[in-house]
Amino acid sequence: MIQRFTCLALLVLLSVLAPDLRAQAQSEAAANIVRALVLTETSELQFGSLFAGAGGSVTIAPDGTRTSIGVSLLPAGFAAGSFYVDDLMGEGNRKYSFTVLDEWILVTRQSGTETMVVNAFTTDAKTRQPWNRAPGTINVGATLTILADQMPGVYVGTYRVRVDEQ
Amino acid sequence: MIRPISRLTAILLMAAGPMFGSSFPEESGLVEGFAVTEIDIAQTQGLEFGTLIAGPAGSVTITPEGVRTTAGVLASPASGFGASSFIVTIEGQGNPNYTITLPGSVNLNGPGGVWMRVDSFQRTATSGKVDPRTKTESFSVGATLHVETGQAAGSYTGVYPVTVHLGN
Repeated sequence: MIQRFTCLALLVLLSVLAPDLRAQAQSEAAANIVRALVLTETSELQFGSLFAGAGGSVTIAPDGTRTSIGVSLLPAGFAAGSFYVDDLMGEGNRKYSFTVLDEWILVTRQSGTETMVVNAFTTDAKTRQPWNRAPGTINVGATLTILADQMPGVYVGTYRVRVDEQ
Repeated sequence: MIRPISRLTAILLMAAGPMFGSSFPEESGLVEGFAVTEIDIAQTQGLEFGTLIAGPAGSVTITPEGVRTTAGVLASPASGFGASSFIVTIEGQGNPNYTITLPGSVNLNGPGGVWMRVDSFQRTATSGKVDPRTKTESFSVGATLHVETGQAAGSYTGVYPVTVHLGN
């Protein structure tokens, strides 16, 4: 009987003092699901036709108005860029921000290598409250700079925009 | 009746001896294996699948090396993603073998009680031994996330166990 107690005491001692040779960590995993928004260009940003002369600039505002400095303009043929933001899931009223990613771009003469600079992009996306609501339209304007003796022709280029859901 | 009990007691004492600081020579492999008094594992970075766009069903896999691939779902390229990282540390002396156990699958819980399943856990290859000089070893874990059609938008989080065993 004494022997049995001795053995039991040793087993208890071992279970208390034996090191833990196994360890476990609870690791974190995460993902974020957002609903799709579709951004479609509905109008190209067009500065229209103009005479370069001594050079100058043409500005298109987001509301579509056109102003110029130093260059003469032909009427019509100009427009602000427009984009339609649609809610693919059809839920509506979703908040998003709209951003023109380029500070400036070059437009290049078709069948040529001459370029002009387009910069100072502006939008009518809300400024106080940075979030817009889908579906909806965002308009974009910018300024085109024309050098003196700019080679006549059609100049084209691309700029990048992005929407981000709140 | 007495002898078997006495013999059992003797065996247990021999096994326990080196755990508490043995007088056995350190160059003995047997003693080194039992001289480790503690093993620990800690996460240094969580598993992040990034931002995914709800729509069709599909899956997203993060490899243990941190590469993200998708099948059927769109992932926002701007969102952060990455494999999880762990560091294993030991206390004591020796160069013990250890093994790593990963779960079969877990769920990430989202808004309103919805969830997504994560499975196919994989890890980077390790030597299976803790460096006796630094007493540490690092490895990374990746897995596959399954997204259902029209998965509800929101943040999904969960935990999964990673276990290290000494002496296997």
